[in-house]
Amino acid sequence: QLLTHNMLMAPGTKNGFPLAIEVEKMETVESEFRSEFTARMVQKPVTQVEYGALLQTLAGLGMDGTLPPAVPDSYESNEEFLRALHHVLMEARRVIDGTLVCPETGKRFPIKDGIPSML
Amino acid sequence: MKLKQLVGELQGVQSWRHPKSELEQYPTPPDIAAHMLLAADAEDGLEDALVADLGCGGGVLGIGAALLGAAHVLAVDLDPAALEVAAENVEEFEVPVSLLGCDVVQLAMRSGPEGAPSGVADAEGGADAGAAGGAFDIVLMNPPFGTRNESHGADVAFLQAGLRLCRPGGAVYSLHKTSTRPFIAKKAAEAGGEASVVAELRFEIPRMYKHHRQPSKDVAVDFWRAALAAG
Repeated sequence: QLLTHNMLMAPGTKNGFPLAIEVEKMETVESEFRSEFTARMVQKPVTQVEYGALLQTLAGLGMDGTLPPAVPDSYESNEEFLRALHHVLMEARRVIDGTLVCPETGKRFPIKDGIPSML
Repeated sequence: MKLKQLVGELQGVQSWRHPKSELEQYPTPPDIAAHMLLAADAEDGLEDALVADLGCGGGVLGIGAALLGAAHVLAVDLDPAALEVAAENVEEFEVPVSLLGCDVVQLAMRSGPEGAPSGVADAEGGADAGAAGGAFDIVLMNPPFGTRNESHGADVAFLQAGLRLCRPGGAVYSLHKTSTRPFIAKKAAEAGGEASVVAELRFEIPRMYKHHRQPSKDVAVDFWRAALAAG
């Protein structure tokens, strides 16, 4: 899921973030919408999700426009935004097989059966 | 969820089949896992939490956290064989747990860009560990005891990694040999954690590895909570 992807960085690099995703096979998953949890992911100052990196990732997946260019004001009560964010983070793309590519070194990390390997 | 019920559920989580001595893998028994989870839930609240399970093995702690209402769990292990079993368990339990093959220490050492969520301290700057803070509300682990030559220091390395991955105000729950208590307290404090022993447990280690001479052995284990200061 993109929630996990957004937390990953290539080991041993300074700028290996976000990792590019090459998808071979993916699926959507269903996930219960929890507005409070979703809001907390972008809540400042402790942002769980790097929003800029998320937008960049979405663009790479051809999903630009799925989310607004910035977190809206009063996002906590903006259900439309929260649902869109929830969908992107938890449901939209679960990569089954593919590759994560480090933007700094080009090093490739495989994803197999839904499990990325950063070893 | 009641203790008995949770223990019952967790007994359905398979352990991995070929434990590796060099990784010092010991499955967390269901009753100990359940105690850890209920304590974490009572103190920090698992409902809607973002949780990490470090060195997850078969995933018993992470799956248990999800059963208690965690919104999402990231379970990490560097052993592909353990992850394979964890994947089967996650599928069986239909819980929001994602798996990642990664060295826990490396995961926490990543020096994220300014304000990155994983926002972990600089790779060469151990001093600011914990200052940046990570993304997770609660980090659960049953780390290697770090007492074999191959795993030397792994217990402390896991604890430090856990504290780095925690958000400010979050907490790490971990198991360490009672014999290491003063050392763990010191290391946790250095990493910015306010650590206390929640309970003293007996951990029954079955005879799994060649270096085990007795049929099974009780080891005194401390159950720790290390909280990362808020802000």
